[in-house]
Amino acid sequence: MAEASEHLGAMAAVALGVEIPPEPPEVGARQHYLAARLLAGATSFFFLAFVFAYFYLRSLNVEHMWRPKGVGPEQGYGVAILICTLASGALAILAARMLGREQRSWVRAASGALGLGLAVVVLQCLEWATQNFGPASGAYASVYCGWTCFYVLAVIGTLYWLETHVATELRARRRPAATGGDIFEPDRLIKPGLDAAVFYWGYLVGLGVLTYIVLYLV
Amino acid sequence: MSTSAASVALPQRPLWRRLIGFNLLTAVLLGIGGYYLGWFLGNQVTGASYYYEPKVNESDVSLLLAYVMGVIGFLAGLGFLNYPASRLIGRPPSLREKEGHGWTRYLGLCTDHKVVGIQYLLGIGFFLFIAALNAMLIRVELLNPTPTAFGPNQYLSLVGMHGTMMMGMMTSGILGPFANYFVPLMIGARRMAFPRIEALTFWLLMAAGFILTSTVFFGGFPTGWTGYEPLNDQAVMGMDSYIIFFALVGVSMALLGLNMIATIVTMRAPGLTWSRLPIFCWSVLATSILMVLAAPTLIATLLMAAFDRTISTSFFVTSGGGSSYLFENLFWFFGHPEVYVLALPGFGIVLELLPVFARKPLWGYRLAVAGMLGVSLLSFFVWQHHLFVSGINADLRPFYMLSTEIISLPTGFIFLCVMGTLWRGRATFTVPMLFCLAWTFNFLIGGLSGVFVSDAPADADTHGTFFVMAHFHYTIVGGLIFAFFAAIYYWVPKMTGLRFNERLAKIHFWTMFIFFNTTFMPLFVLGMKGMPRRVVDYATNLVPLNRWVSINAFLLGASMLVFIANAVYSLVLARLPAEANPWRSRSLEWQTPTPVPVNNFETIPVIDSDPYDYGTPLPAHAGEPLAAGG
Repeated sequence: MAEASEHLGAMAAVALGVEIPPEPPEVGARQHYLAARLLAGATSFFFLAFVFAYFYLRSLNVEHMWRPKGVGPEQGYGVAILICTLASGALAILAARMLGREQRSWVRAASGALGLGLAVVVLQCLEWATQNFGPASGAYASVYCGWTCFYVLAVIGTLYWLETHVATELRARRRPAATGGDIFEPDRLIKPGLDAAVFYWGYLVGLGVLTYIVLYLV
Repeated sequence: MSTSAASVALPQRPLWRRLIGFNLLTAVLLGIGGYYLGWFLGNQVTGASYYYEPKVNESDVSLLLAYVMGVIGFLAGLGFLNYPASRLIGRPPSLREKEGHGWTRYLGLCTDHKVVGIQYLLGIGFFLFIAALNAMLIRVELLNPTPTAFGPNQYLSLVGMHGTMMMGMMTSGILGPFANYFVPLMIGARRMAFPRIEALTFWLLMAAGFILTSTVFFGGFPTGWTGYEPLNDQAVMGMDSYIIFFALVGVSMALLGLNMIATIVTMRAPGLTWSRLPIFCWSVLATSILMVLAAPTLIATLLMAAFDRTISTSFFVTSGGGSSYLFENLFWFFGHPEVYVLALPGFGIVLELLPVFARKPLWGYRLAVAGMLGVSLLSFFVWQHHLFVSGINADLRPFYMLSTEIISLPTGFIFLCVMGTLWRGRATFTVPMLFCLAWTFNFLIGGLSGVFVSDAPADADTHGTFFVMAHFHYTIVGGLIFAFFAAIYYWVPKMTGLRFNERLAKIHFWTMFIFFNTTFMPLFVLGMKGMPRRVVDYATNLVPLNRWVSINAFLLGASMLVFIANAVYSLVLARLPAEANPWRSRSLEWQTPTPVPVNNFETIPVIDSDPYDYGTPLPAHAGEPLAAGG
């Protein structure tokens, strides 16, 4: 710094002399906050392609192959998936609020959200295995298979995200001194991280509702 | 994460420990292992033969699985899975171990944004060279009006490889090397918001590049860079390389954009208000918004195409209820913002550099910001101009024609700012400045011809001809590559502490500028005479002009050799030392020592003025004008 300043004859744009403090936790929190919202934006544009495909192909109905007779999802599975998704989202939000109030039992609520999220994945897999059509059964079937496949992948990714916070908390409770690296204080990481993960999970729940309406009801 | 903690020197491990650790060697081995495992699993799943068979869905399954597992193995070998695996069991790993030291850090996962920037520069430079070689081969073929050097299929593959590699790799052409390296320095931050993601974007891009190159082993692909259906679905296995390449580029783009936005929004130094943010950072921000929103649509589209080729869905297959127009619409919903992903960083570089070399403040700072954000916003509403002649509803044409023409307004803001900054400036014609001025000339031609082809009746005549090709080469080569070289000559002294030989640099500039124009200007004429793109043979009356273009293209290629020779001579052999701030820039990145320490700033900079106050009464702001050529 001194070398550069000497060469330039002191740059007024830079006032020197303020020591760098450790990275304030607010910065990490803001990064998580922003990243979750950007991720939701990116995910929206990803699924927008499927929404567009749905309405585009449905309106064209090329060769009357949009939805041949007999092609349709199981309503029972659809409702069950929707209920599990909504319940998991509600538990995740509850967990974030409990952590905000410093209630240690937030882990239980988060674990419940994880369990119900896994149920969503299992139910969707069961539906794929038992439904009466395959990906080659027309345009609707293509959109259905593609959309639900990537929705389930997004759910799995978010469940992983939620799980990392539960795991970090449990590990920190067991071995409070065994932290380090770029996460000096797990509590500082967990709150903003969980808020971000719950926001994204809430967004996915909304997307799940849209999925149900478009693929099962419309 | 205190400063002192992160700058602790790590003990050197023994050679054998380094060889079997997470590094490039391990990554390549695991990548190859993953590739063959994927191929094996694909064959087990589908029961296909192990031999290459053209257009067999089962082979596509095997190859796609091989690519995916190869990439996973590659990333695992570099150590990218350590962090997610550690977090899964609640262990918080450290960034410090990934910051490293010595030249080997350039060959692996490194979370230092400066290392990643240099990795990007070298990696993208390598693939640019491959893509440029393809262009030379294309021009070799076009020396004669009938197929001579290559057959039609090989020619199409060459065109596809050239276009796809250029368009895919150069999406990160400026953001990769220069934004990664300089945005944290410009905003007074110590690192990017998500350093592992930053490193991941680079290695994904490299994996993608090699996957695209491997298409030659699988028959290539006939679609050009757009991957249009129904050719996409009908193509041989080489098409799978295209699909995975662009999908990986999309993931890399989206993550790079997300990281940039998070860094700029959350990590600015005290006093660095939005109105003091360097204009290059604004261009990065505008580009990043496009990357985050447009790239996911591309990924989804390519995954649909992959499903069509493997599990027989019918998104784009007419006989199954799909439509190839769906692909075209979705592709261009990404594809047109993609053009601005390429152009906007060029705007930022030119606007960043001009005040330095004109020795006066940037004229119309807010106008420039509005221009770049305006371009970002409008770029989502123009995509159907690519489909004017595809039989779309005629009522749609006026809207898309108008929206495309309107986008020239915010672009015009940028030109206004360029002109305003140059007006009565004390310009010094250094090599970066020359490239900026060349950008102004080239992009003006690209932009004006763009307004012309956005007109639906004009487009009906020029669509699919060399006229459009000339237009977008003026926009992208003239707009992006010239800005890319301006950035190289301007910032490499900061990145390396070394400078280029001035005389060779000027020879590079003048040969590149002259031969670029003598190559691409005649393409407008060829296009007007009806020469179609992507067709290997052409009318005999176009032979003289085509030969002229080919010869000039070779000379343009030779100008790149001058650059490479200069880089090798100046940076490797002679190692010409650079001054600490050779351009006397006021921008924050030049206020750090060279080489920049791992944590960038020993003390937090507090920003109390903007970076373009050249010539203001404050003596410390003014700086002396540069001597000509200096």
